[in-house]
Amino acid sequence: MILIVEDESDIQATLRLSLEVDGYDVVAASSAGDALRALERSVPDLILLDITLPEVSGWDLLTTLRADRRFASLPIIVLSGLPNEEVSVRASALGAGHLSKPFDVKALGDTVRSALEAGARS
Amino acid sequence: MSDPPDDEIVTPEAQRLHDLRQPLSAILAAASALQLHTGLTEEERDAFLNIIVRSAERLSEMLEEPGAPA
Repeated sequence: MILIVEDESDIQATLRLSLEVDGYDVVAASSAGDALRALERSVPDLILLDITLPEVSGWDLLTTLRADRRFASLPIIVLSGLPNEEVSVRASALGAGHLSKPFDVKALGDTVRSALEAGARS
Repeated sequence: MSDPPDDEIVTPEAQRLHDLRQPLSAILAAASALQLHTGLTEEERDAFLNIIVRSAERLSEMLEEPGAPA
């Protein structure tokens, strides 16, 4: 199962639909709080995490998750429309991948598959 | 749309680019999904098309706003 954490409704809908067409089970959250509640119900195989969330940022959520043993090595890909290099470096330091906006669904699919394969090997 | 936290957006230009990338992202992702995924149902195709139209309208509105790139 893939958890999408994205507050932009059209991007969330596109991610969800495209991943479902690819055969993944998907759960979506629109805020860090929603995401934490979803994570209490079940642990996903992968999280797609937008950085600019309302109230609690994606960075803060990512930091919180990495401090929790249950999610310390969970594959996470951050999504961001911010300058790429800064985001990539910061994501990498927190053990996460990065997909920059705008993206096409082939890049999305390739990034998701790679992260899941890497997660399965670890 | 929410305001990004202070530590993530350092300049108005970065904020502006970030905001413009949101609808653009939805358009590119949905359009490429239509191109890539074969065998979509009519409902799935309509969902992607609706996202493209809605996001393009939003992007157009944003470009009409004061301060938009010339």
